[in-house]
Amino acid sequence: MSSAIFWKTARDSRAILICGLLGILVFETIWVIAISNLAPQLIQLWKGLEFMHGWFQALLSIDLGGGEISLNSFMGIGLVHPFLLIVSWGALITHCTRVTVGEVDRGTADLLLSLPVTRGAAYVSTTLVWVAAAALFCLAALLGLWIGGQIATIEDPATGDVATVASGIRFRRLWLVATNLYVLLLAVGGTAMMVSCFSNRRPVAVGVILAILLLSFLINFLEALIPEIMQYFTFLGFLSYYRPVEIIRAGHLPWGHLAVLAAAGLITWSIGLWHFARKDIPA
Amino acid sequence: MNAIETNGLGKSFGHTAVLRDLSLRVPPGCLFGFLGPNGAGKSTTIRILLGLLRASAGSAAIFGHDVWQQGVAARSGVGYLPGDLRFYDTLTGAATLDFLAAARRHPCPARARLVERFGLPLDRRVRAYSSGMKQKLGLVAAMMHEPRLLILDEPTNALDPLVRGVLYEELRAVAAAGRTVLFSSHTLSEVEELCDEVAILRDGELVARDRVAALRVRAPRHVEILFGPDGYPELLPEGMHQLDRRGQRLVAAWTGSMPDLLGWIGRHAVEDVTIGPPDLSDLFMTYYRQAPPAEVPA
Repeated sequence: MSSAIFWKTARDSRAILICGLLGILVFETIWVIAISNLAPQLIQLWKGLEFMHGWFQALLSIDLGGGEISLNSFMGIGLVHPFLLIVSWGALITHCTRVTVGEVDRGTADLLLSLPVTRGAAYVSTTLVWVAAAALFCLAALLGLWIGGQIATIEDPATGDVATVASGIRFRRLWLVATNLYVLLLAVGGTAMMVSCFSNRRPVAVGVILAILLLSFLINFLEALIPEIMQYFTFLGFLSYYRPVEIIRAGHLPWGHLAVLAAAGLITWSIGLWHFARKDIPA
Repeated sequence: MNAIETNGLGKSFGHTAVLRDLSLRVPPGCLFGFLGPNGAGKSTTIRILLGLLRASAGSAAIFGHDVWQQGVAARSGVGYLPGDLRFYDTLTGAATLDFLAAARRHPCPARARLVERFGLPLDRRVRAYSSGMKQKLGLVAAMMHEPRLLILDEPTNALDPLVRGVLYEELRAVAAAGRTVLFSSHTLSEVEELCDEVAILRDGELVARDRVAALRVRAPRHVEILFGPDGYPELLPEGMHQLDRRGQRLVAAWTGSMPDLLGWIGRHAVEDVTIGPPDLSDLFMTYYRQAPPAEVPA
């Protein structure tokens, strides 16, 4: 670990991280406010359009399970909405391709790696930044939901009482979802680091990572539409191991999913480290 | 202990060998020139020494530390100026030096003095620097922590003659202080002016290594001789290589001893003669173009 590289990396990435954090925070806040206004109608609509469940599932990249949908389920959707994933994944990809392949591509690797610092230390230092950033993304999402919950109000149809949305949200379950989201981001980051180490051109690395993530979306999309075929391939997609609505309904962590994501992240990250420590740095 | 020591060092990319069996010793306190045409293997050697490339064969050490197995120890006493110098464009010059100093965890006693001597404005972002300023920043970054070994790859690129003079002074002071400089260049004149010893690479192989003074003795002299009418010799002596003939005027390169040359001239009817000083660039060009006839000194 090199504190100089850690702080330099953090400083290099701060603009995109701050924009990402603010974007997620504002989005989640607006999400809660919007949902609080529309939730009763949406729940009614959901009940009446059973044939549309598969399409919703495909479009939102979540498995709603075809059962009852509640306010808390909508909060869960906010934690798997494509906006959140695109912003957080985009920031991770930008960061994870900055220090390894980015340094090689722009020619600054000579300066960095000729310092008396091991490549492993440089790799770990930059990893710590995105590991921390991923945690902040999850916290920003939760904070956004909480702020939105404090602002938005909802009327109880039975009594007519008006209360803040926050009073109806089970935040403990949202923490569980955020934990799953965090491990998902670690898996994405680990994969991005590995791809970044195997390439010497940043655009190529970014392209490969995007292709992997788009494939993950595609698997999830097709799973909802043609489950009988896709059941053999769903294990390949990151999103197959991130099911917020299921967590909210079940009220406990999906340890199997967490284990798969953590293992994927750790293995890909370790392969990246192994290769980075040995690779020739081209001029 | 040698500042740099390589044994049978080799590097291949796929089936292409770019460095072959390089065995080199650079003693401490030496201004060591590393010469060769483009693609000779100079930068590859340097990149192996800095742990940027992994050798395909042989070994390399800096002050006894293997450059790959003990890379941090080997690089801890090194200052390096890359040939193709790139910086972080968003940082200022000062922030760049701060970052490098922090990463090295080593005090930089020479920073202020070098910044002043090179006339480097540190408050601007690097992206606003000219190529000359970037080169100066690279030199300050390489030298500010007073490393035991300074590795400079084409250090005078983009420098004006005044700054080049400052750099030469600084490098002489570094060597005088007992520290070592590996000066890679393809500019013969600056290596001749600056260095104590020189190694010449061609096509990935070491073709010569010697003290500059010793090379100068072996260097050819430019000779012009105007022979009298009917005095032009049928045979030239061993060591004389004809470059041109204009009537009775012979233009040649002489690689033998001065008494032999004067004795040969004395035996002919000569009207005029001009003998130039030893020309190292001619010798270097000979090494560049073809394998030298002489053995490579150990």
